Amino acid sequence: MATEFNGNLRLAISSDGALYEPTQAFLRACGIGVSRSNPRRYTANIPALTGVSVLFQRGADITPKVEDGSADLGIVGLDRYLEMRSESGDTNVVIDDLDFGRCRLVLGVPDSWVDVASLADLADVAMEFRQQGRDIRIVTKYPRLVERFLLRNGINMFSLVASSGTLEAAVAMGFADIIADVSESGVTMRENRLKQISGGAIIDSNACLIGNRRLLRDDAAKLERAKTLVDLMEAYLQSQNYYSVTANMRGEAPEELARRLLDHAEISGLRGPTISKVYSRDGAGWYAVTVIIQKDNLANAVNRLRRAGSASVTVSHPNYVFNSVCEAHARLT
Amino acid sequence: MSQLDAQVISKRIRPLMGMRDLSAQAYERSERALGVLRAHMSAQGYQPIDTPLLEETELFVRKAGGELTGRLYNFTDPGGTSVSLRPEFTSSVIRHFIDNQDALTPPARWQYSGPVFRYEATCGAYRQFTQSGAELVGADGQQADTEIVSLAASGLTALGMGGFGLRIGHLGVLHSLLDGFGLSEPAKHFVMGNMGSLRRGEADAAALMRHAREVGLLRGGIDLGLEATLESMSAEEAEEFILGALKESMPAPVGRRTTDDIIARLLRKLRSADEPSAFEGALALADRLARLRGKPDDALRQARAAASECGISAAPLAELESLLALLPQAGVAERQVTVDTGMARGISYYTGVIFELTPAATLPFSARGGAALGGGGRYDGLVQALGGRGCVPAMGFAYNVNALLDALD
Repeated sequence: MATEFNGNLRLAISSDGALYEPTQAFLRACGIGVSRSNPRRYTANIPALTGVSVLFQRGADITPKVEDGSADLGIVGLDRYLEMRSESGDTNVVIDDLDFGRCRLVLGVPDSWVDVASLADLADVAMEFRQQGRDIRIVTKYPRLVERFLLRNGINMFSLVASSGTLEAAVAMGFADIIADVSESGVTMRENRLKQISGGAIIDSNACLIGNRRLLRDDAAKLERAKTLVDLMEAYLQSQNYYSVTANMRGEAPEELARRLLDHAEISGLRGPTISKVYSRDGAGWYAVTVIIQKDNLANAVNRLRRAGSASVTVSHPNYVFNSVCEAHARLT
Repeated sequence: MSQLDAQVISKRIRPLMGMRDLSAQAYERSERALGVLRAHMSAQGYQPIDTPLLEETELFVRKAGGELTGRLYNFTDPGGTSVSLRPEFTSSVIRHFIDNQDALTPPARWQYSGPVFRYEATCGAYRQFTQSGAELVGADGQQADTEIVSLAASGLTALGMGGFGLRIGHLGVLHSLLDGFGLSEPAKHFVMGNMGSLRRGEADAAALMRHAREVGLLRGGIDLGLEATLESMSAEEAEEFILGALKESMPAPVGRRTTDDIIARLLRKLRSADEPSAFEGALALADRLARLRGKPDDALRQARAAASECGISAAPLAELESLLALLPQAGVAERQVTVDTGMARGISYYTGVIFELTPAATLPFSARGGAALGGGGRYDGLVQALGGRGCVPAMGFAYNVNALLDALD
């Protein structure tokens, strides 16, 4: 093992499940796409970054692999990380939201329980089970998160059935009364005649980047590569919030134009506009003005630019927006 | 030895998060303080007892509820029993009372001290800390209430700590006030259970009203349009009617709850559903009381005003008022007292007065009272809930000895 990776930074990603495709798409979008010579190989590399090995792992194994030091970084669902992590271990979350893999861990009760609409109802039903000398059975892949959630919410009498198979069928098959599972849209639950209840959302999850701080602290070369990697990820994620807007505007001088723009927050950009002269055929005073604006502010900004006299506006998407410092760097060590 | 083994063995093992060693000096200091508290409680007639560190989990979850049960250190022991490290002493002390109920002549006055364990997610918080406390089991009334408050407060004086504050609330009074609205038990629970989120501004009365409707606590909330029809029927008629109406639309039951179980509970729920107007009034009052705190006279005046504005009798407040009047004789000056009608202690077995001791009379309140030196309250239903005979009144308190030592620094 040690020789195979030869001191490379090892990034573990999903080889299966809901995160498999989106993780690779995310890395491609960050400019660090994975090249896998053979789909049966469980290792690959990132051509754009030398010294980085990618390990394909089952989603459930990524957190333990990073914990035990057989990978340095991992891309994993926050739900799985919180379920599996060891608090006294060396891992932590480096980037908490990679903007994909959104899902919610929820309780699902049978449709036929028309009397159960909330957690309070569920507590009452759990009590009923207890009075009949048995416990309400909850099947889940997330026993740790689910147990804490139930106890915190006054559901004290239950037994958890840990399972890694298909949970939705467990209720119909009779080995559980309710389930706690991740749901992206709720369709699978409905198809299995289960419903969600008020207050029954245990955690909202998304893909995140985790790292082993001890390993990275102890290896300067790995740490440098990890820094490059998270810098690209953070800058890509940051870029998703912005547009680059360029407008041709007539003006007497760049300073006068700048004053006109800086008067309005929606078109003054992150720091201020970039203004450069346009050498037009008619010889009039034209300038190209470029500002970076928040995505949800586009319509306002374009309107404001039109009113300020811009002749044409082009909008493009930056691939990266690098801040002066990468915030995630501090969380690597 | 392989390289890996060497790495594993050379890794230093530190205390777990939230747990710490006591140095010789720190231990001596802690023992000295505990000695003072023990002697103080003994002098007041409280006999020391001890209970196991490890108990069956059910002892702590049956009635403690809520915040505290979410912080249990629980696991399955090698014999397959679900067990927990104690998060507090009261439940164990009450179990001890129940085990000896036949031989005892109440009231029982007991004191205890030792470590308790609560899982805290925040870094730096104690997960193991030492409690020292007392329980007065089998005594009711304000005399008993003041005995415990006074015992707790005078213990601090015995330690040489002046200037502490006493924050006091009363869940019994709160319940009685809410009774003025004629709510069902589930609705009352809902209102009381949401006082914390009202206090912290996480929810407002309108949002809670919507939520209550959603979960079927209010008349008209369960969208079957049956309430009026059901009013005029006997239980049997109603059950038959609902069965008939649902037979068509209700999904076939899966799992262990039968259609009968489900219908029976649905009926109970429909019958106990509350009038939205009464519920709204109760929420409005809870919203006011959740954030009401101040010096005794001022707080009582405001609470009375809130009750009358919500159209209910303020009479239950008289109980709190007469208890407050007894405090000066019990050695707690009025300037030390803050009435806080929205306080909760994160444990759901309390039924009457609840209180916390704070390092300074004017300490800013934290939502959870984390800085408290100790606290307690009345818990009249616990003996019965844990399987004891009759409704035995009980009240107690415990110091957080770690917080006491920090405050003495």
